Amino acid sequence: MVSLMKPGIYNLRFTVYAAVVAFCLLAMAARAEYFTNEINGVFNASSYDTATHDWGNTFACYFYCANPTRTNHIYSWSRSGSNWNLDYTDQEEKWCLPFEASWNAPGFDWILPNDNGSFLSNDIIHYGTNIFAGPPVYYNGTGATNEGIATVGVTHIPMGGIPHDSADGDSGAKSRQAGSEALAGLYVVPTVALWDMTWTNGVSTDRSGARLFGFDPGGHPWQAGLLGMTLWSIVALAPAYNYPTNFGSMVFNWGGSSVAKLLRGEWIERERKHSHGNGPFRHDAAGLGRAGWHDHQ
Amino acid sequence: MMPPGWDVPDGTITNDARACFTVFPMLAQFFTWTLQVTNLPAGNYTVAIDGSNVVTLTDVQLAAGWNMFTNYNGALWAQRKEVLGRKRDQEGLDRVTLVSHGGGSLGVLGTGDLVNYQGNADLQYVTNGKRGSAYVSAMATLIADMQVYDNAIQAAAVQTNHVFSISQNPPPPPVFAPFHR
Repeated sequence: MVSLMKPGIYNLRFTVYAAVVAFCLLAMAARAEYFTNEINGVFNASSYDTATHDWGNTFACYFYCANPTRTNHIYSWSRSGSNWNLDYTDQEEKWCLPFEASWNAPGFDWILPNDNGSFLSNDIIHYGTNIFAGPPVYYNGTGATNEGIATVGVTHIPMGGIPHDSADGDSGAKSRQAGSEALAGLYVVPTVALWDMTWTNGVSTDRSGARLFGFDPGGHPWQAGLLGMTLWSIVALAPAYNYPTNFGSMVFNWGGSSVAKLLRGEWIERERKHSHGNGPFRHDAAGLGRAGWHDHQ
Repeated sequence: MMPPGWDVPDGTITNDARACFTVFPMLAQFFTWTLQVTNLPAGNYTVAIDGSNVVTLTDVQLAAGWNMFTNYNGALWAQRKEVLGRKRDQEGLDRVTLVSHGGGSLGVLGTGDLVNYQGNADLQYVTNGKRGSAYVSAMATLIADMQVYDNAIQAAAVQTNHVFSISQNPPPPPVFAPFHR
């Protein structure tokens, strides 16, 4: 009877259980693929991704962690103080082209409309269409030019906007987000309404309260805010690209008779031998194998 | 696969991103990575990963499912944190201050990182005026260097075998009546 056992016995039983969990972690690799290739990309958020405001690496970390069986290539092309026109004329070909030419699979350009230049929606559309022409057409210091460098393609994702430290979150930022949404429609890519997602879901309250999201003297979010921007971005992109937001689940039924049987190590091995399909504990022919990874998506 | 890491003070790291889940509590539910154990005897349980205790939960909490997404203790968190750390290495950022190193030195792996890449890009594109294939060729070594960091990041992210153990916490010691002494 379980109720008569001492805590030490529970430890033993759960230690055996732990072996099952360990096997399930191995089984995880065999789960349905969310990614069918390496994730390549360049990321630009001006000063929201430079120096101490390290947004891009947190964003990239999602892909490196969620797609660990492949070598991904995600690099920043953010430049503090740069607006989208300067990104186009001074940085895009110089910093992005060598990366984009090195990829073996199509990649992304995630790019945040920022407040440099005090641009509004029409500016974002105008300069966005310039940036989004590359590859193959970049500004090379003289004019828009196709330098004839082969690439496997880049999908540009405008990232909306982020609230600023003002009572309404900044009408300019909202306007830039409107431009970003129009660009997304033009290029038929997912809409990332980052301003709306962050402002409505927390920043509007936080700004006049605890101020955990931000803002430092330059108006930049703190690390908590940058993490929030990463996660909301993934929330926005996940439906279109099948990016995981559920990283898996392990479910065990302690009360089942399988527990006692699993105390005998041979049952673990037997389950492995009988397994097929999505993982060693999916198969339940012997009434065992109640533990397993379950995909909730 | 596993969720990404983020900044949590650990004696070395001083930045703290955990307040994200105070500002946006719904994110802690939207992203999930769950361990669920049903029908446990009533009590408190310690969950350990690779022998290191990471959380204490009740049987009710374990039955409902423990979302490990926001957990920042133990071996799996260390792995998530290391992926982020190596990504920052690739950009030439100090993992603590997040400030980049000077252009005169190489990255922590002894090869060029993003600081060196951008410096070489300025040299080749701006100073030397290279364009097209000549420019891409001139950047090839730095591209290869950046890929060294990609490999290191992938090595940190790759799935490894971790052992979970769940043990019931000892009940409180019995209280004896005075005549038992």
